[in-house]
Amino acid sequence: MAATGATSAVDTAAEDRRWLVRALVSRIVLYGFLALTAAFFALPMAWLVLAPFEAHPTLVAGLTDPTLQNFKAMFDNPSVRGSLLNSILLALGTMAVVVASAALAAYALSRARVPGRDVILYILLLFSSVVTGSAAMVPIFLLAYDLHIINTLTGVALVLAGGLLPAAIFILKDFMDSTPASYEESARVFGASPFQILRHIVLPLVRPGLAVIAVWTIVTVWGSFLTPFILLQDPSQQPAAVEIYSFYSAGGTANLRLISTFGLLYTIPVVIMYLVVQNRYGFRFYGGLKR
Amino acid sequence: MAGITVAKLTKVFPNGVRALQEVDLQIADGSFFALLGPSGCGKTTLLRTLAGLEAPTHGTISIGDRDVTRLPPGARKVAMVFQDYALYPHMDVADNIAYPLKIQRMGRGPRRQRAAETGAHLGLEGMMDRRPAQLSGGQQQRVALARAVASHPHVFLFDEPLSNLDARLRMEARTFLKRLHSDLTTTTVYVTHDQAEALAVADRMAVMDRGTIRQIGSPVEVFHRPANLFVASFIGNTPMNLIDAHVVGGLLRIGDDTVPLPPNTADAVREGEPVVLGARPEYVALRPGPVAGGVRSRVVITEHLGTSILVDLESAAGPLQAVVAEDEAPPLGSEVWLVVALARALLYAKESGELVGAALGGPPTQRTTAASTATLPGAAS
Repeated sequence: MAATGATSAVDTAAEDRRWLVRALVSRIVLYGFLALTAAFFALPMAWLVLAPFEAHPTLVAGLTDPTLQNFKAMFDNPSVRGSLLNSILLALGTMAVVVASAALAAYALSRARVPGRDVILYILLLFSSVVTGSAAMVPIFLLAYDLHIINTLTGVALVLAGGLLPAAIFILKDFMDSTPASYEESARVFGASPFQILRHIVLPLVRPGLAVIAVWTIVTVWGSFLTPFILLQDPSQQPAAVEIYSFYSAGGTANLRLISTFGLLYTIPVVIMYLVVQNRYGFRFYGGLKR
Repeated sequence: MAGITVAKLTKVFPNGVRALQEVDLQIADGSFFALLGPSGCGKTTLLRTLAGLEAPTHGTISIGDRDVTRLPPGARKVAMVFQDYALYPHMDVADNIAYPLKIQRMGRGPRRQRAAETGAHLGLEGMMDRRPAQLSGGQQQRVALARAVASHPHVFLFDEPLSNLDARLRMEARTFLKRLHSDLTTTTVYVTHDQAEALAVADRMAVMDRGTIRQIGSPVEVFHRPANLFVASFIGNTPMNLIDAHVVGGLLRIGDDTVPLPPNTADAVREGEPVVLGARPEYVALRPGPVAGGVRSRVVITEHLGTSILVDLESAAGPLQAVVAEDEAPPLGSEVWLVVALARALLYAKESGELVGAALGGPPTQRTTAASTATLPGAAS
């Protein structure tokens, strides 16, 4: 009895040691892999942050000759300033159209008893990817041309808004569905009109939803290239995303000084917005919301 | 100030449910009227139709001398307090109370001033800047009341306003509501599924079942003379004993036992007619030995109710219940004879379920009123 007890204790100790070694090795392998992956994605980031301050940037990330000349050169370039302003106007304009229309449409869809409402919504959502997709570019171009909104920021904002609205309505309707009916009923008994109910009660309650849509619209428009590229011919109208495309010499070599500096500047608003929204509403772009 | 007249009100929902069937109702100006019934009986639908949140299929509603049947909710001069209070979470207490005034286009300063005054009247001093989420259930309920009061309605509509409060708070809130009503004397319609609550707060009440009104009367009338078997079994803390019997030779035959007819009911029944004898467990007595007019039964279970004891009995006529004083519980398994207090007994026709006779004729006397209030405190537990 005692002998077998001792043997099994030894066995257990040996087994424990083997288990520890195995765990350690698998940890080392895992962390090594993670470090490599992180480096792979971190290097371009490092380049993006460092290259604008480099007098003669190459494709190697590093800071050998720090300078602010690149920024000065960029801001002296009028088309750069203009393109950033265009991007801001375009993003804010589209955001205004999307938030206002989505709020009204989502409220109506959330409250009205329309037969086949959910089917309508899903079809809209499906088509939204078509509207701003490359397949529809020719008809959209012709439509914009006939409506005389070609070569205007308004036209681009409307087309972009059209593509974003279905998803925005879909998201916002979910928020509105979750506000209790008794809130609105009590307001109705006090004599509030539907518009007053929307403004006083529903919109304040779905503010996180409105914020999601506003930020998502701005970020999407900020980064959209194809629609403005096709609908705007006048270089003075181009937004930043299209402007970057012109930082090549006639021979096709990239102007790394301009591209890196402009790239950094172009990224900053999106990062700031992410941080602000994260702070105020505590949501991530994936995952849930806290109200 | 206005009374309410409801005529032939029918509500059929799109899915075919008939929530209200030809309901006729008169609610006197300034009264506190309770609509009582089990869930699904149509009481909330009736209230929502009064508010204008549901459109009736047929029938008319008048508030005061105005026909409001087709008016939108906001034009009816009613205020409704919802079961979940429907306080706006993004507004502070003052803005919540002042919301009806905002709709009436009163300026921000004056309306917050009025809200503070109304709130103070309802015991909400010093809470005007808080959000609803920072208040207790009882305080939230008073904010909802204050909001209704601030809108100066002709009629208050309450949809189970106490059901989200715990038992002790509910008693306080009940008294509070009653006092508020006696201060304001605004016509109040109060929906509840709790019969004790309806008996306690209302000066008149209607008992509803499956879209129809089964009885209208004062709480005392409804408690002492339930008009039919439905009301009889619905009203009361402990369910009324409903004992099947036959009229044989001017007496009630219950199994092998014979019980005299309650006074003043002999003319209302025919020889051989099947009837149901109704006797509340509080209105029966237990005797240890055989007595004339007693129903022989056996003690199965006893339950302590605090100041009294509920005794479950088995008899040839089926299960029976009796409430006895706390030190008079008969031993389990013993044989007892249940004696009905005939002066309070009720007699129903077996077939129609309608009241055919009761010892207490007409409006109950002062003595019975005192007796009914004496039984009420236990009602809330």
